[in-house]
Amino acid sequence: MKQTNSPIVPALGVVATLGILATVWGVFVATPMDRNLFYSQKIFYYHLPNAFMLFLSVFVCGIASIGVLKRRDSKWDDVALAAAELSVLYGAIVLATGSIWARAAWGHWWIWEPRLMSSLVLWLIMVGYVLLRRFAGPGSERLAAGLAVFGMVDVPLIYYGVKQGDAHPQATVVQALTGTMKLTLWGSVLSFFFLFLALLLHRVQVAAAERETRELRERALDAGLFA
Amino acid sequence: MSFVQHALGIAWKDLRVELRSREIVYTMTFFAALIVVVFTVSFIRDARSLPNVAPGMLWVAVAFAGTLGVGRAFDRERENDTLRALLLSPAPRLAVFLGKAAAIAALIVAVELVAAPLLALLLDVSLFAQPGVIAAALLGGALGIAVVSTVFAAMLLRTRARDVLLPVILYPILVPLFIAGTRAVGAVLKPVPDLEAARYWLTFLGVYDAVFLVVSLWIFEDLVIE
Amino acid sequence: MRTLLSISLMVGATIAAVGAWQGRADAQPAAPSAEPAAAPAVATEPGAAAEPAAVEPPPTGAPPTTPPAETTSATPLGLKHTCMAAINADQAWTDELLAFAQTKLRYDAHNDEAKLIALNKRHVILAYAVIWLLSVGFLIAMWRRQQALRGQLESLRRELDAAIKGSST
Repeated sequence: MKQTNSPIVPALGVVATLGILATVWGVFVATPMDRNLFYSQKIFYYHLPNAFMLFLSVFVCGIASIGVLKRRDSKWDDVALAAAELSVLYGAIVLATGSIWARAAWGHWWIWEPRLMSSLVLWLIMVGYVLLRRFAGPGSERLAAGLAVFGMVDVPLIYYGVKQGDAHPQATVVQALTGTMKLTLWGSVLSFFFLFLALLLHRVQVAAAERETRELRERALDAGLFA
Repeated sequence: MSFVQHALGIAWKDLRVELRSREIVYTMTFFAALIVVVFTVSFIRDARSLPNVAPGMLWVAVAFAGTLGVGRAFDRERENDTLRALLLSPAPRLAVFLGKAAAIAALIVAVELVAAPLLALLLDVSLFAQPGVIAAALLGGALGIAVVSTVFAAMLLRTRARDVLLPVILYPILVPLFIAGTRAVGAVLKPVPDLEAARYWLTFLGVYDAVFLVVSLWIFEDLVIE
Repeated sequence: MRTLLSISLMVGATIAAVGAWQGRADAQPAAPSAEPAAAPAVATEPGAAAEPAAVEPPPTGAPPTTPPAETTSATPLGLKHTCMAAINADQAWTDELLAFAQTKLRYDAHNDEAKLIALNKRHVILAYAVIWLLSVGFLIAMWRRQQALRGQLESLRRELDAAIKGSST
């Protein structure tokens, strides 16, 4: 088995850590208080980047799953599994922070709102993916890939389904940002992107190593090395 | 034999097997009726069942009973390993898929034909004031559930824990269908039926069915491959 | 066959979707445009509104005191005038409203706002705690997975060594 000690993952991790430390300063010290939301607006500097990473990881998982189905290459499968687990993490973060924010800003932990609902269902699909990988036994990678493709198609439908149901008053937060707020937000997005890349690459390497170990053992068994 | 004939032949085969024993139809419809009854005794205010939960009840009953029926229908194929034979037969795999989906849609329609009148009776809602809308919603819902659950049930066929995993992965995918179905039925049940909204949600349901049918057509072969 | 079916279905779905979307948009001209990237938005909810309510007549008395239709127009301004006339006609009511506005209302608004800010701070801290807890949990899970992998490799190596030794003797 080849050693995967490339310096990329630690380097990305360091960059992401520095970036996130800088955004902590930016969020709590540099940015002014929002005029409508006061303190609760500060949740947003980490909520939005994590939401971006959720959709990014699901997108990566969906593309890799199409690769699994059409190319039948296990390298695609490593990427799909890694991205799926990351999307479960980011989904949990987005739902938790979104719910806390909804409580702070709207007074309810949960409301019927397109972004909340589509994130929730997306997260449920990705949890289903991980459950499938863990409990469906051999051959589960192809089933899970099918689920990921279905899930990717499903999310826009949920979004529009909820959106047309009951229009909730929507103002845009992003466009109202100025100066340091904007800088902090996009710095945060970039830092979390680097963190996402570091976690993804590392998880892909672990998944590949696990698969190679399994295959080596099977080959050794086939060759009659183990009694 | 043409593609359509293959698909129809497989659907007819499934339905004939079912008509001989009637095992799935009886258990599914009885289960759906039970769900409706359990709901009517669970959601109560002022000693009466709540009429405004009727659309939700209808779709939950259909979805639960549908999952049960789909699982059993594919168990039947698994017991004698007949799905492998079907896939090895000269019929195109897409015809196999469409045939099985059509047969399952027919089973779900049978469940709906029992659950919807029962719901109207027990909750005292005028579910059939707009028969066209209700029929279209029930048919569109049955088609969507049948297409998606056929894909998943077929691919889960040879896995462990498939009885648990089928609903776990099926229901999140079906969420848009539930939204559209409950909204369409709910629009008709309003004091003044909102036909425009009903038409919108029926279109939504149709788009959902079309999108997932196309996706299924393109990935079904890759999913059931040996 | 499949391509033909797919294309026809997609074209049909697109036409239906566009038609329904436009019908819906005509019915609701004020429908907000899609903004998928933005986070949940606020500012229009009463709970988070910055300005406390001005000293307008509270809405409690409005609907019952609306006189018959011939004296009012249906516009909000007309209704407001009707309400104000009714309030002015009743001296006790006016006094009651003024007393409420000058004492209770101002104090409550200020107090609520202070509470809201304190509560929001707690929510922010809660949100950050959740983010870091989940991230650390994920890192720990990944680390444990790696340890397990290391163990597997170790056992594989041992088994291979044993197998080689066994075959050489």
